[in-house]
Amino acid sequence: MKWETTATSNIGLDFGFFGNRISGTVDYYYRKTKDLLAEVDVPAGANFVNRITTNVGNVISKGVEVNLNTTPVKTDDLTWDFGVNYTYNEAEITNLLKNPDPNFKGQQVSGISGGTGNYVGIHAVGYSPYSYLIYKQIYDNNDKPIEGLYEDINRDGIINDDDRYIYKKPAADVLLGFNTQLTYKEFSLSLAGHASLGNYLYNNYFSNSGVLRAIKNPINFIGNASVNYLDTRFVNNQYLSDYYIENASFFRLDNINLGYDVGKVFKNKASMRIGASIQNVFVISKYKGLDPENAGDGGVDNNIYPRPRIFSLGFNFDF
Amino acid sequence: MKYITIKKLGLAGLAAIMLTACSKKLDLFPQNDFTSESAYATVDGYKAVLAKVYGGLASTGNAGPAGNSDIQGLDEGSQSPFIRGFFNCQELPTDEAVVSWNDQTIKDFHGLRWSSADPFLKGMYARPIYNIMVANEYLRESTDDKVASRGISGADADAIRESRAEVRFLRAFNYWAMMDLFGKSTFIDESNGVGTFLPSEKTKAELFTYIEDELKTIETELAPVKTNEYGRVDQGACWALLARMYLNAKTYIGSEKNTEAITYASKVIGGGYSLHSNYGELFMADNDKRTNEIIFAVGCDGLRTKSYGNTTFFVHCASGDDHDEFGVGGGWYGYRATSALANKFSDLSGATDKRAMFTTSAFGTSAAQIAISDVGDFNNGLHIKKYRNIRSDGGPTSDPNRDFADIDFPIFRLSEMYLIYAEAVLRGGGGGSDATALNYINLIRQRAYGNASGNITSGELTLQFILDERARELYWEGHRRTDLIRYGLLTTGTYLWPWKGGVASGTAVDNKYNIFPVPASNITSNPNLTQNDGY
Repeated sequence: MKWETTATSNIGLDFGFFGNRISGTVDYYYRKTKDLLAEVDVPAGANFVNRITTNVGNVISKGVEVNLNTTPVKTDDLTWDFGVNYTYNEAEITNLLKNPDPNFKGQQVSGISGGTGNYVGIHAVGYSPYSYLIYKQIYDNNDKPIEGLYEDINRDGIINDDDRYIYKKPAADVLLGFNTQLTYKEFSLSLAGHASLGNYLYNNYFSNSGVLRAIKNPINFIGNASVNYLDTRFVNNQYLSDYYIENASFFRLDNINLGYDVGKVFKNKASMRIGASIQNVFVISKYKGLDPENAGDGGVDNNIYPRPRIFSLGFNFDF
Repeated sequence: MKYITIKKLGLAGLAAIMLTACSKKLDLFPQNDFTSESAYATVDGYKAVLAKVYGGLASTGNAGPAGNSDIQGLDEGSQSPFIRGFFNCQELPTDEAVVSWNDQTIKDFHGLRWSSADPFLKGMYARPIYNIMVANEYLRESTDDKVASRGISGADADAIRESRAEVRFLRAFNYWAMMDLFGKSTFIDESNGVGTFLPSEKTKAELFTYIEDELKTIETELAPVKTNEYGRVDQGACWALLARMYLNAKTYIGSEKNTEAITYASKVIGGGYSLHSNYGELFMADNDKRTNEIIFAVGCDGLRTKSYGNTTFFVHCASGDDHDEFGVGGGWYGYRATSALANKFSDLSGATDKRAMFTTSAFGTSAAQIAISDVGDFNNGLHIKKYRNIRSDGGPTSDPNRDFADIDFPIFRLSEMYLIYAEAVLRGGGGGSDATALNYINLIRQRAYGNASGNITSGELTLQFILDERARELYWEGHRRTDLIRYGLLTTGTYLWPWKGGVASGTAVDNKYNIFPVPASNITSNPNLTQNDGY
């Protein structure tokens, strides 16, 4: 075994105009990670272990990062700063085996809650890491998913594991961030937010709890269920349906801060500043789970606790 | 300010160089103080490894029930055990079992629609091969030369020499499982070392010859029938496996060997076994006392072989709120049987045929109860209370938490030998007689009924009757798939049962499902292996 190695090439441009009133960077990168450690099967019967950790994976990721900082207004009383950043990234696994095999589908990842040993993700050559490997749900005329009915992807007349297909991924294509600050005399106002586009999540809370079985569970007590049951009317869990892969693109306004510098108070013995802020102001997303940002690399969302929205009001004195 | 930063960077760089220098130490080999020389230093050391060869059938790893699994990359409790995996392969595709769970592809088994990517099959391929690996290792380390070189002699050396035949039996048994399930197998014996080579593959017919030769060679080296320590194999097990294999010879090699089946079943029957009077006690926590009938059982113990994949699985998977009657502290709400098994019994209450162990405090045997409208609903179906972690003598079981079972899993029982004898006679085998066949069947039925009221006449003794009798006598013991294949009924439309092929009323499926696919990942890692037709 040896160390994983990463070779990064990037080309960038830093710029600034109008006395740096407009400044920024543009960066293109190409990163090739070689010899990623992965667990691979060894021939059965050759050794006491059936899997070993070895250097086999190669991943290429490439993208563009743009940073722009501007100061559109700057007078004695009024300053307005505005900054944005933009990142485009794509990652692709280019190798997973020592001896390439066309029948090798990939390595299953992203274990979920529910059942034993269920996975929804795969590291597969030609796809982004943690892409979902899932059944294609069939819907009725009213766009309701039909329980247990999936597309026979390979058209062999049987729905089995071979009919799972690679669909979407948890990683975002585009990440956006912005921040702005407005200062007028003693007042200041700042906002910051960020957005993520093209990222998907597996809604494990829905798939595990949004079924009749969760309520009328075979153990004789009434269980809790997700309201998603009202949409699907599934009796049994359909863990591997792509119905549960949801677009988790979002825009979140992270915080708003408002400040006022009162100046000297208490007969000049102190100075005072008043600040008010809101954190986690709002999220705009089609995602039906609680929080489009609350899952690990595997993109499996099991979160049932909302992220708090914090309002604060502060008075700062300097003596 | 900038100057300091550069200095810091320089320091960091120096540190990085030093770290690189240190990393050379990582090339050292582990200083392992437990090597094969210390493991096999004493005769007790040999016995410990022998226990591991047997234990591969009962446990899943050296920690138990979870952690330090023999087989990596799969769910240890559900996908790597021998008994549970074998049960899933032999019973779930048939009329004898359905499962309500959503564990990965588990429902594909009853639906007869598995694929080569199936993780349960991957585990079931890996398990026997792992057991064979351990057996080979024992054989390599227990040669006369090696034993002598370690200063072991006299009776100790003789005991080790005798245990070699047992290990060869266990290896043959694991190869039999591979032949039956996959129709071919990765092949390794003690001449292959441990390393990175690519093992070869043996076909069904080659495996048949190999297993037959091995068993006939060790037949005289094993302890005489009914003489070995409990839980270890003797001649009885060797003959029983030969009898079972000959009965299914048509499946394995395309030609009948019924005469041989009669020969070896008779050897077992003549070995001094007798049917135990109480059928239910054969599957209770103290069934280690049933050596009169059980020829070889996989020893399971609530403290010493903790695993979610031996008989612990049977008592949990079949129970729900009624788990106390199964002798365990909780149910897993999973496995039941279909109405097709119920239909084999004229009375489901257990009052006439005591093998009908289908009534629990939570579930009865009404037609509405037995009908399965939804495979995923544990509450319907025929509930099986055959295995109970309760001692017939009323004593306590070993696990005080009542999680893990003491029931030993019977691999061979005398009644199977009676059934093999009778079927082989009906199939035209020589060396037996119709009268003896009828007598053997009636012995089984007398035990089941408690009297002669269930006895049949020679006119009633047909091949179909024997198949049904096998279901009544041997259900949930891992025989059904092999039996249905022998009768040509597993995949065809002649015999349908609820949810066969994933359809409520049952449907025929492609005949490729008579054999399981070689897991695709095995073929990826070893190009010497070939896939079965249709997969």
